Amino acid sequence: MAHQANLTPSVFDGAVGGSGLSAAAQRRQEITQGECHLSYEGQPMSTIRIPPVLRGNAGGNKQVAAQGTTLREALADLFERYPALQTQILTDDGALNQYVNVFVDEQDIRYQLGLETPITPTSTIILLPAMAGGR
Amino acid sequence: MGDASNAILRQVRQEVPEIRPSEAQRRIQTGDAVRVVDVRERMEWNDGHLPGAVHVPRGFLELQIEESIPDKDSPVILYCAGGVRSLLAGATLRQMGYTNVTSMAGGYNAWAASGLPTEKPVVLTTDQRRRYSRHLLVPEVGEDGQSKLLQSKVLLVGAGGLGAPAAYYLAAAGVGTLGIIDSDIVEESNLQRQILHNTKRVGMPKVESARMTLTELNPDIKVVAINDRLTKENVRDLIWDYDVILDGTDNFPTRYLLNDASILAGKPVVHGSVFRFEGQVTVFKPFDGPCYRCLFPLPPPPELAPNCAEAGVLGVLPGTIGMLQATEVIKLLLGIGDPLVGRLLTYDALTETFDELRLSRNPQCPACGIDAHPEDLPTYEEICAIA
Repeated sequence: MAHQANLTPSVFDGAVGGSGLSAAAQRRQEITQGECHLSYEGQPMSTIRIPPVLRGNAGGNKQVAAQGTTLREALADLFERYPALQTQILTDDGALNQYVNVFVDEQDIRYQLGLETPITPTSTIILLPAMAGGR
Repeated sequence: MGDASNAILRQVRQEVPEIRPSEAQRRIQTGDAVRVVDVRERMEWNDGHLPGAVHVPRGFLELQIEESIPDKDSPVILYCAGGVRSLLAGATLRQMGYTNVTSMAGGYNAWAASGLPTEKPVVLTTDQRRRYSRHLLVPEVGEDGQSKLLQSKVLLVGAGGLGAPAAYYLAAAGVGTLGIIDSDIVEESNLQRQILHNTKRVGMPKVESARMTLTELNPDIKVVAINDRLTKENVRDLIWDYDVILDGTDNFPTRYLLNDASILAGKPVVHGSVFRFEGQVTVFKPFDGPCYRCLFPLPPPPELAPNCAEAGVLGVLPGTIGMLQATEVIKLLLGIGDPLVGRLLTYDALTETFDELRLSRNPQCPACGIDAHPEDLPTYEEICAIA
């Protein structure tokens, strides 16, 4: 279709990640990673918010603290404690399921660095599956 | 006019420059920032005014002008019927700190006599002025906005938890035509949250119950009750007539179907969904922001997406989310504020907190991306056999 305004490159098309980063994104990554490096000396933890449909497999918790400098590491930490969550969030190949969105500090990680999106100790990770209810 | 009046006018002419209607038109056409203010009385305004003008009667000028034109450096063209009252209004604005004020010589009469374009507002009846008086007092709505609402058409998909409260407020607000599509009948278990219906109407089609409640609240509006399901066959014809769609459905196939059809028709969809104590709201405005498929390329498996019948919902929750949806609908109809385009609001009733998440358009989206074909996408009827 002709309407191409407001389109954001994403990991869907491989436009972001690895060597495909724009200069601005690379700079952002460097800055963020720099902050992480400094912040992780004391092993602080980020917060993962668990949506209602996944809480049954997360001990009923609404939020869980997790360690890691990237989203992938933070999720691995989560899965270590709550293994049943893994198949609900990741595919067999280790990619993010398409029916789950993950936001790190309000930003959709598909338009950041995917599972390699840097996490800081103050980060809030929100898992957002689609909701059907309306009646 | 007496000597004193003439003296005042002579003095004001020293302060407030005058321009002819042809020059006023040139400035309006070439300068985006020019604000045109009609300072006549309401009866005069109702007979016709300059297109795009705002109406601030001279008697309310000091009280209302700063709400209509907050930037005191904006270029302002004032006019009245013949050019005298606007001169005096110009002097008042200068006293208030407006730096770029001119008065149109000859006023509206000269403008109209020159054959320049005029506009006749839709005039509210006395009853309407009473009913919507609190809207008329809000500058962002006012008489023009209320007229716009009365001429607007909104389609509510679902007359349930989300659709019921949203429809109630949209009817109260005077949205002129409310289409409501739903094929269900009222059940007792609906009454904990679906406030359009009542105990006596158990067994009645929901859309009929909705029509009765809404027209009792506001006989001024038209309710189109569509006792049907939204399907591939009817979706395009149904949404074509409407300005905005409110998605209050409870299943994924309808949400995907509505998404694709709304993209083809270029209609914004105000999305809401609820689960127990939590809800989500966003606006999918075709090509201005992401669509539903950008956000959720695939539906979740059934075990991750129970609907309200399976999972339960706090009765008040769809009211909260439906109100947010109704607010977004009105903002879209009036063209005011910042609609939730590209932003998803999540609400947690237990912690009483909102979060705002940033959404992006997916260039590869099969519905609104670069090579999209929304006309032939799957809607997952077979996958989502959970509704």
